[in-house]
Amino acid sequence: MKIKRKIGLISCSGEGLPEGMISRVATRRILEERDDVVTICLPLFLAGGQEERDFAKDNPCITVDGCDKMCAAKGVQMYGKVHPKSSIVISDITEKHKHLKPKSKSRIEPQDEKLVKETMKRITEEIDKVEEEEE
Amino acid sequence: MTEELLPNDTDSICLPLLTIEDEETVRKIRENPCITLDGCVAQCAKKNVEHHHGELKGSIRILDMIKENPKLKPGTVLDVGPGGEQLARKTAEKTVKIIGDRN
Repeated sequence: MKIKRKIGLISCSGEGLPEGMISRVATRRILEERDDVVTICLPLFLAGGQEERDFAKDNPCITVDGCDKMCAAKGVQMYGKVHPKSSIVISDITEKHKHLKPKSKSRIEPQDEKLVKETMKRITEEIDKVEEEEE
Repeated sequence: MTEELLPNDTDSICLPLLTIEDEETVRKIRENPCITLDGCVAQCAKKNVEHHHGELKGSIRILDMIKENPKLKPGTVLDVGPGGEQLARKTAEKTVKIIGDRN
């Protein structure tokens, strides 16, 4: 029997910019809604042990980054030696929908909910695609 | 800290930028005094700064803050709640004190 792998969702933790807050919250909400996904704190790739470094090898990963520096996607490649299955970048979304651009680095304002929901929708679409590939 | 208490004297950096060895970020932590705030025992912020030989001037562990303030219970990851908000303010105050002691 083939054991189904869980999908790794890796978010930038985004202390430095509002888009990071969005990526973290959207990722967390998905993690609380579904039981077929797991996560790891991105900085643990460096601070943790081999088990943490192997996370991206052991789980097909979707990265959710706040900006085009794409720390989560690069972290997966750097430490896991694999490419993420899919990458979502919040600043790409706000570039196309400028009215959604968030302002606070420390909290989600009511007007940010639309962007969080849009990000969750995209994450869900990517999870579905990766699950199809895995089957 | 960086948005309300000392916006002109402090700045925050994205920890993952250190994890991926972003040159500009590594330079920043080497050229500026740093205080790390860690949420769990893994102490990723402190370890990442130390790994890149940053100028570490202080470190705060939120678990210690919780021990020092047993009545302030943080809520969930998505909503820290009133207790978490107060704990965040106390942590910010402690950070200001570290900065004050340095000056």
